Amino acid sequence: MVHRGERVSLLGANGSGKTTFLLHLNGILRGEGFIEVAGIELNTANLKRIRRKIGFLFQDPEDQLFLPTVLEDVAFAPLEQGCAAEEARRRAMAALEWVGLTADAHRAPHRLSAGQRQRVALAGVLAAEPEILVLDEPTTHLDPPSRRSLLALLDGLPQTILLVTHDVAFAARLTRRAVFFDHGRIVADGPIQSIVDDSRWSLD
Amino acid sequence: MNRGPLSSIRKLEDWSRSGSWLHRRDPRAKLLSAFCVLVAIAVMPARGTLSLCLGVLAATAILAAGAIVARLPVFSILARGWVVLPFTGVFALLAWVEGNPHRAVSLLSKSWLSAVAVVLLMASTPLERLLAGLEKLGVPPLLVSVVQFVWRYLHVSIAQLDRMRIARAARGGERKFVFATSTVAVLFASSAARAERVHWALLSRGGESHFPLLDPLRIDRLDYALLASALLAAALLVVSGGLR
Amino acid sequence: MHIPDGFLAAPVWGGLCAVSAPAVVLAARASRKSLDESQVPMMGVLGAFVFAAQMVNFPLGAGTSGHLLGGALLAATLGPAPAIIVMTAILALQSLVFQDGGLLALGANVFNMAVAGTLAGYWPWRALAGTRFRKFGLFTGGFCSVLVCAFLCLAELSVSGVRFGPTALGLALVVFLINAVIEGAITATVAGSLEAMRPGWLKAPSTEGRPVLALLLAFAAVLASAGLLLASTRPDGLERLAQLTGLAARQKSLFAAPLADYRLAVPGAAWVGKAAAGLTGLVLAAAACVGLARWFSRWRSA
Repeated sequence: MVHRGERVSLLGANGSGKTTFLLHLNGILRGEGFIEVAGIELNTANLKRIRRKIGFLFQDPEDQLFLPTVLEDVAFAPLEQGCAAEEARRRAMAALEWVGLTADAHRAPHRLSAGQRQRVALAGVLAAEPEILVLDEPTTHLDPPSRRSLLALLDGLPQTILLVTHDVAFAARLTRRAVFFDHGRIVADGPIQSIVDDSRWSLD
Repeated sequence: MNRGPLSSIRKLEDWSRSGSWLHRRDPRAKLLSAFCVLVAIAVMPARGTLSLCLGVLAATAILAAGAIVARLPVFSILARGWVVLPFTGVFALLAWVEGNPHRAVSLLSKSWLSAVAVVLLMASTPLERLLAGLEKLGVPPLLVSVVQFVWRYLHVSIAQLDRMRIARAARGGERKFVFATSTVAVLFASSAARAERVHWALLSRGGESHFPLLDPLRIDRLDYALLASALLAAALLVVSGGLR
Repeated sequence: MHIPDGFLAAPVWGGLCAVSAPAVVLAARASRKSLDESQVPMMGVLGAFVFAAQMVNFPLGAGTSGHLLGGALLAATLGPAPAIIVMTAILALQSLVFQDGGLLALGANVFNMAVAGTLAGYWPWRALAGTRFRKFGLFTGGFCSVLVCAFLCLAELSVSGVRFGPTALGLALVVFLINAVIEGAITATVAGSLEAMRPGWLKAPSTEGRPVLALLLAFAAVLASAGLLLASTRPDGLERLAQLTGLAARQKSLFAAPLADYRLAVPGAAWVGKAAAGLTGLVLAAAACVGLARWFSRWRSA
């Protein structure tokens, strides 16, 4: 049970089911059991509404930036939601400004660095104005300065955040609560520092 | 296999995003104009030495003029046409050896000129606008979308190939054939996995795959002017190439 | 095998453009039925893979190298119609961005590699997919796709007046054969590894609609007619051999075949007669195949 505006880290070994769990949240994977997102029950009819509420940032921005220019990619979600071209462009530029990449609006994604691509992907997700942000190992390809700027960006967001990561330092700065996955089940749920200490989930 | 092809494409991409009278024209007009010129080059008979020389000169002048209008470096544009050399060179050589130098020169020049025309088209139009123009001209939207995506992910695949090549070299690059086979297999597996993830990302973001271009295309009088000049140029070519 | 502009005669490139365009439109329509909208980027990713894989050198010794075509692999993975679209996309990009293959010649290159090559690569797989010989079907598919493509390429160049000496032709044939074997092997191994990763990914070929069948038939018809026309313009290799070895003198007809010498008594130009004969032969062969297939499937399910 995650409350509005809360931030939760999902920790666990590789293959423990964290990403699988996330993919169930917006219906990409289906299983048994009951999921309710922002008050809407997850079933085939509600998929589109739920996917509008959830902004999903995948691990590799290469998988997410599929349009020829940055601006088009960030404007994709608003256009999908039915905005007119002008409104979509405005939302896209606003999102790009928020991540600090307006100068690159007309560049092709393959000309950007990994950190810039991750920020464009984040802008693309934010332009959709979701209520919940789901981040799947967002710092994997980033160098320390990029991680710092991503942290600063995420920290300033009002949305509910679910963060899957191995970057414990990043998680500890961003979230207060953590759940621990093991073999596909949640085995612990509590303040992040105690989870980390109990499962020896850091370098110390 | 080298990084060469993609790094030379960078230049083409940069050129396509610069500005000029030609850049601002509607892509449909540019496509049709290029088509006129290409057909003229292909069709001009150029049977005698004089007509061949005149035809080639006229075509070169027309393409150079196009490059100037597009504010692009003329010699670089003309030089890029020589990518046709490997394939064409072999046949030209064969023709020369068989005692038909006229045909050899004709093959070489026509191939080269046609390639330059395409380079000029691509250097004055960003790929996504060209594709939008093609779609308006009747190309199936599915094909246009697929071209867009192939282009987007080509760089990713080639980067991966590069990394594998470096890794192989680091391990002592023998057994090249086996390497080639396993490279393709690994590349396929990771492409298939990526394809699935891209599918998920698209579903998460809303799901449809037809992407409206933010700037709609509009034809104006200048575009008709361009088309008219292309037709004129094409006529000139056919005439000059047809002289005896 | 990408033909640049300037090689093909106007009727050849014009005619092939006229044939390829409706084929591609038909393939797009058929793809819409078999694939979901959201799978388009997936087609792009696999297309990028084929494009990149085409750049990989398979060293054959003596400085030559083989290359992948990819049509058969795409056909087995995505289905024939989407494969045609993806291959066309690749060829278009190669022509536009890399000037590899002419723009006017794109119709010819699309016909050779995207339409004919892909369909030739699909048929063996389709025929053998339900049996124990799946891998062989994949191999044959790859093999045939390269051979058909090479044959068409040589035919088009030849009809346009490009002359091949016997040594050049022989060398080219050897290179094509080796490429065909490589293609077959790669198609079989790579598609096989995909099956191992995710069973059921390879397109089960039982659910195509009419557009695909129409495409297959149209392709076969064009191929048969064109092949026949070409074969008729130069002495057939076999006939030549027969003449040389004196076998021709000893040949006796066993019975007066109705389509003797590939000619139907059709009024008009001789080529109409030959093409008509080819088409008739094709229809008969197709009917035989369909009949055999029906009988075979009934026998299996009994």
